[in-house]
Amino acid sequence: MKCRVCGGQANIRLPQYNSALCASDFVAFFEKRVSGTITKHALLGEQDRTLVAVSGGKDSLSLWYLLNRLGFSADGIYIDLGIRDYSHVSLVKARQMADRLQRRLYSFSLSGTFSKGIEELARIMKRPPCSLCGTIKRYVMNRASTHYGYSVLATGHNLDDEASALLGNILHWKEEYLWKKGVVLEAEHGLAKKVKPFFLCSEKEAAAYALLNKIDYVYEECPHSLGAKTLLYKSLLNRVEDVSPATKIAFLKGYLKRAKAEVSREQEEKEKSSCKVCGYPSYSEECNFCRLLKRFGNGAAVRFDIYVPSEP
Amino acid sequence: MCYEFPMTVEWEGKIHEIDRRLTVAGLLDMFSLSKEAHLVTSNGTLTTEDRMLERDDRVRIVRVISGG
Repeated sequence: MKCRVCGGQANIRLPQYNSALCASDFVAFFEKRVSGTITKHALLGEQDRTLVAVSGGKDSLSLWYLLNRLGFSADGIYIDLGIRDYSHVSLVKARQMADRLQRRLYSFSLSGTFSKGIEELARIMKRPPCSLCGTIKRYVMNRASTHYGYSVLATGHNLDDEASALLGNILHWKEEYLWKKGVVLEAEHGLAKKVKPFFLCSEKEAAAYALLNKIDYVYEECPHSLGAKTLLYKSLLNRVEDVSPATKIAFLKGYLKRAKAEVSREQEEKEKSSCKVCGYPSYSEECNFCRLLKRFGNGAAVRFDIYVPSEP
Repeated sequence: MCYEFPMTVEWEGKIHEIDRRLTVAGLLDMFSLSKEAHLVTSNGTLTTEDRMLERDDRVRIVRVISGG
């Protein structure tokens, strides 16, 4: 199979674009595609300070690397959930990238504030760890963004993440979440602007980008994601994609077209209120995180460690 | 004909030995894996699905799907 650009030996086939590319042309293609998404959806501007949500996985590390390659001076934020070796290895990978990019990495340790990891906290609260993890991550990442003056929070959510979540929402008709997905969520009412530059890039493309740029990421799954519905939905969508290329991207592009109208209607109806403790948007007097802090906090303030790479 | 070095395939931490030539697509079929959910490297180089893998190649299958 030949590279569509240079005619040399191809390294990756991209049936969704009816194309095949060599390593260097794929990297250029991928970066151009992400850059195009950033421009088209006005995700980042030259004046923005960007914070990347870094998990240590291929998507977030690739995004952090790529944004800096594109000239956006982006720092990282890592949340240590205290999941045995997995969290430790993830932090090591995140720091390696901070060193490579010579960028700052903020980190928040759950056990520093709660004296417990996510597993123990979830068990006491009788909540699924993934649900609690989402609550904590959303809050902490937003707090770091606003506290340190970052105008944009970027996450590595890719096409497969979004398509599988959309499929799940449709299968279970979760109308409260159905129209809330998007490439960008504008800043509002105590929340930083959130962007997803990989929204239209498949997980396979993101993995190939990581591999070709020798990005050392955590390959192991989070132990709590084993058996998760998301993985099942991703697997089903990929089986369809194998037989009918470009199905996933058509699914999401069709969604985006329809979501715009729905979101603007919902925004008009939404009532805004703030947590009386921290000011974070909340439907009740205190936000979920502050209630968590009140019940299980060890008295220590929410604080971030800042890792600043030394000169190479 | 016996080959001293069969093809080694690393998949999810295990090494499999295959004593015949086959394409990347054939390899993924053999393991019942989706092409959209896996990458394959041969001797450290990313390869397309039509590529013929040789008996003494060091092959690695990379799962690309993650997340809960």
